[in-house]
Amino acid sequence: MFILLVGVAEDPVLQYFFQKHYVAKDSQVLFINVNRIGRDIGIDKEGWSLPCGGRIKHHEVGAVYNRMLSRQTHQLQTYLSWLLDEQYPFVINRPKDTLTNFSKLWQLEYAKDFGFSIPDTEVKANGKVDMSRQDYIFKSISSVRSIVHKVADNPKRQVHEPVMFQRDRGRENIRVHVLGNRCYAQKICSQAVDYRYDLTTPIAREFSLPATLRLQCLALSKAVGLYFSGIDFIYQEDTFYFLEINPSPGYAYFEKQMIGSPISHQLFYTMKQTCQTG
Amino acid sequence: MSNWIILHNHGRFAEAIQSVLGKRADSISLEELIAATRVQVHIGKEHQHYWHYSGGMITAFNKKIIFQEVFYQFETALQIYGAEDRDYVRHSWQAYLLSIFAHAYKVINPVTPKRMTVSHYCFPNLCSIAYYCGFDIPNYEITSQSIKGYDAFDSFWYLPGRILASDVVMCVERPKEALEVVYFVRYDKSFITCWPKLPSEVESRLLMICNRLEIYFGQAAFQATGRWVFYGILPTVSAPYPCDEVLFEMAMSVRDIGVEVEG
Repeated sequence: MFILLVGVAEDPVLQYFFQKHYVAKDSQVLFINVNRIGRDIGIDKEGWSLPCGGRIKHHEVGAVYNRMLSRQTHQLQTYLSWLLDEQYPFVINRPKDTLTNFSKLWQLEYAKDFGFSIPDTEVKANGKVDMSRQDYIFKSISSVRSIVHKVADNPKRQVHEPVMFQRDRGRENIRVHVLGNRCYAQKICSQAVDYRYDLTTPIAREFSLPATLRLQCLALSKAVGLYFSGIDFIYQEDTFYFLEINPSPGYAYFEKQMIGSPISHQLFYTMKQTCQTG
Repeated sequence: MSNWIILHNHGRFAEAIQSVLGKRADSISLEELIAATRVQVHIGKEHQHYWHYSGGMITAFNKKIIFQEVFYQFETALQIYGAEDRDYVRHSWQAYLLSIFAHAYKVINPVTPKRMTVSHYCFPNLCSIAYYCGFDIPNYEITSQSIKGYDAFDSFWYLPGRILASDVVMCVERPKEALEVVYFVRYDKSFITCWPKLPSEVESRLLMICNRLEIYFGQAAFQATGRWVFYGILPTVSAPYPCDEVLFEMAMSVRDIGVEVEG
């Protein structure tokens, strides 16, 4: 049985994962460059045709690590999405389950109903910005142009498309990677309002989650159908404020600051075990 | 207070829905929603969505039935934006609509994050579902080569008569005669009405498909010579429309879906 890594060659996460010696030396692990599908990588109802001339039947695919993130460049990727959504037995993560990230508002409301604390949040469209809310940040309501800014730094007084405003809850970011029934939590203190764009590359330190929050994170990830997720919180005054659940976490940055490589290790050996037990 | 919201793109079916609902519905075009509807959402101790539009204010979305035909039809309405912003604005409104749909009592036809996957309505997936529900399905191949006796497509959406705009990716066994288009309204998991009327066994299989896809109305295509062969399903009623009589009957059936809310 084969393990497929599906994505693009430029993906630093796949590059990082593929460089692990246990991954690189395993001849059953194959990289499918989605940008080559329809060119020298073929796909049909029976299986894959590979550049080396090899063929893999679909029923020989035991597990997939799916990092197909960007807009599709070839219609055959629709067929691949169907295989990942409905046909292959074990996929981290199925495209249909990654789409909760399309709407930050949907995610926040879902998390609130799930029992998480969320920052005071407003969404506005075709209205005026409340400039009295200088302690708020604003961001895109979707996954497009999703950089966070301070209201105080923005001169615009009107919004047209729906925009999300949230009370700024500080800079103590907690990132929880959920992998199956395990959680790996780290704390990142950043001066930037959005630590993902902090050019000083802040340090991520191991963080001990309260047991109830840990269970909530595991339950949420399972409820939205994700085997592997990255859940972001802001921690302020003894409260963990849920921000979002990321279905394709760029975990490499965080794992480099962990002891060992527990995430990569678990990703690989879970897929391997799935292939062996069939 | 009206119990219905019609989000429309000036389609004839939405017009028919409006005519049977009358004052029971707030009707908002996609252009008005994007350009002029003031939206406010508060998520705190109180959790509310508010819409202010030309017809007044709408709240209490959890008691509303939303009929919508707009989620995948933003192209025209976004012409007021520059080309570089349209994708971002479309995503923003779709992200917002996902939220309001989750709030509503019922959405006809619903869109959820999971159902936005590009594979949901692709031909292989629909055939797989139809086969599971007991229908015969046509042979098809994933191929860039034309096949004698097969129709070639440059996408995974079965659109007979579409002129190829790029490379072939799929070939589907050509139907032996013109496809029968069947319009339907599904009331709930156990009842569906079809135009034209179908044999009961075919109707029950179509109901199973609609239950799997969780759609309330649309159109399906069959080769109806002897055994019924499934050729596709769409969760829309669009051009070419059925006759006015069928359109009106469908609209009344959709109206009846909301009876339990109206009381």
